[in-house]
Amino acid sequence: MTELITNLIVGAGLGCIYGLIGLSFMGIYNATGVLNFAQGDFVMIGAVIPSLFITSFRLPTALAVVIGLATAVVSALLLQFTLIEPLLRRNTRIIPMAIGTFAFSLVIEGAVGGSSTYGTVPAINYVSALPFKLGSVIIGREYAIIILTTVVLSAGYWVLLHKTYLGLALRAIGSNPLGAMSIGIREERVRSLAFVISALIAALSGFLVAPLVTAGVTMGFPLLLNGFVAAVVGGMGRAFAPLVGGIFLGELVSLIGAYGTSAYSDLASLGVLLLVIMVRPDGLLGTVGRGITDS
Amino acid sequence: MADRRIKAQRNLAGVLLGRPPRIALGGAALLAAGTLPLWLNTINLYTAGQAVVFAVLGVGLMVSLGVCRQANFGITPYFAFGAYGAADICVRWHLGAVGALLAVTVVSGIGGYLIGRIVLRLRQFTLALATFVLATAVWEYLEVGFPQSLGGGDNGLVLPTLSVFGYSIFGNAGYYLALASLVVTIAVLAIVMRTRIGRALHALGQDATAAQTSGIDVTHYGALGYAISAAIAATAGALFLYTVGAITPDGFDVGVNVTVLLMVVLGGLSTLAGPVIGAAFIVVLNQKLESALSYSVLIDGLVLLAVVRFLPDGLAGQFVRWADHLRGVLSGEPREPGSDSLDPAAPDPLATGSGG
Repeated sequence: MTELITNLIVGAGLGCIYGLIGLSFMGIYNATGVLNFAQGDFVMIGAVIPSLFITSFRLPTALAVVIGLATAVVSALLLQFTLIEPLLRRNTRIIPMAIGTFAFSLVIEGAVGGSSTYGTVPAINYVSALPFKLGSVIIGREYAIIILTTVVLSAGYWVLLHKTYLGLALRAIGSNPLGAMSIGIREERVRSLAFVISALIAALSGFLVAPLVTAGVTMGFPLLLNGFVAAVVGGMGRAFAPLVGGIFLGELVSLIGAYGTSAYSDLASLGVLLLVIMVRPDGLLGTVGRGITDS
Repeated sequence: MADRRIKAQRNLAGVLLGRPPRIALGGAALLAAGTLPLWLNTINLYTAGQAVVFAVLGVGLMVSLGVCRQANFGITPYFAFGAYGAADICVRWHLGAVGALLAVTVVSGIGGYLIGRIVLRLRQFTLALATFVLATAVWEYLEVGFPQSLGGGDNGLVLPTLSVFGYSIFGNAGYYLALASLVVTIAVLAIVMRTRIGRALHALGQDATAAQTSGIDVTHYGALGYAISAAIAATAGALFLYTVGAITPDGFDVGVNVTVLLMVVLGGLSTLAGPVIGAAFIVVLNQKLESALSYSVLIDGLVLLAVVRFLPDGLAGQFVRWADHLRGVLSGEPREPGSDSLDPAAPDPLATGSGG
């Protein structure tokens, strides 16, 4: 029984990371309509850059984390202004746009990997690796911190979206870009805001997950895939939806890993996604925030 | 009188830069490719073979991605099916290299049609994710779930010695078979694209609603476009097996899937030559960059980023534009870019896409 609870908590922790990555993916998608395949690399930056700075310059952890987050934000703005904005002005369709983000993802991986010879990096233990006990249940400290951070960030995102003017502007350019422009919302700046928030969330989740996975230049892609699954399974229209999808997925992966063959856990998550897409294309919670045309 | 002179000039320009040079250019490229085994060493010939195989795969993907404008981000399942299927058929039914190739092509086409009927119910964004995830899932399955005896897992499988028309597949026969398949694929597609089916597919890609209004069965032709891609991808898979000789699931991983997408977009979505140029460019670039491994990914990425950003129609599309511009200058009436589709000199349905 206690083992089950421990597994459930591990699943929730993983699920929260997937949910955060899904949330960051959704942020850019809702504001621009872009499927950002470079999102996994923002996650990677959040894990790898602090580690590189700590091991080679012996910086304090907090400073290294800030540098990691700043690097992710700069990359996101670079992506926006070198690729997304020009393509949006040219009215590019979804295919070249998504391929462009693939190319940008290669650039980030190449830049970070070229300067760190593509190896894995030592993870930063931001909390003591010793788990604590709650009654007879053993809980890893990382999982507790991840779950807390995720709840705070998701709530913050909800407040931003629904209780502030900035959030109103974000939702406006998502649902009706032309209308938003005609009432004087400066699209480009609001999109920048979406990119910055999204990069921050992604990089932070990368930093948090680093001790639990093998941190390295190629760590982004599997996490991105799980983030996709979280966002699509939950639904792309609401702040808490990716979290729901993520926790569902995290529990699935954790339980299959604990009581079945862990080799099949990735396959299972992909299977779940295919199933949900075919049965409920708009996700479990139902709404799509952005009106997407068929062409 | 003046009309006639302009017409004559236009015809002259047309002869210089229009369709015949396209065939001449293609023929010259084919001749050059055909003589490669005579003067390339084994390693470079292997690279050339890979370029040809990926050109076939890219041309296949182009039908779905470029002509029908489906957000088809997963072609590797059919590529893998072609490779593993051809190996299995060769061993089990002794159909020979060419027979196995044709068999997987037909089966993959039929399977692709059925899968296409299902997945194409999705819209652009979910379609992109679904096809991409399907490709990743198939690769994962090959890694962990596929029977080892059929070549699953990290060991993969090794092709038994085969002969093509009396020549061993491991000599130059594999390369020539791939080259011949590329030529046949392009020729067949060029013809099909001028038939009723091709025009329907093209109309579908331009505007699905308008196509439906004018009586085109959108579901049927959409699935058909997807199926043609699947069939050609299986051909490429069989050729991949023949030219490499041994395959593992890694040959069909996410990286390969993305590379094929990048090739097609790099070359250009609007011409048949595009995927061929894109495949040759990327395969050769990657081989040249292998010595500079630590920065090869970065250079790859920067090149592709530049193409997506600055050349909306890809490399081939850009050549077509320059040729059109030159033709316009020669015939004394420089035209605005984008007026191609109204021009009787460019009736090729594959050449009129905006690449959008």
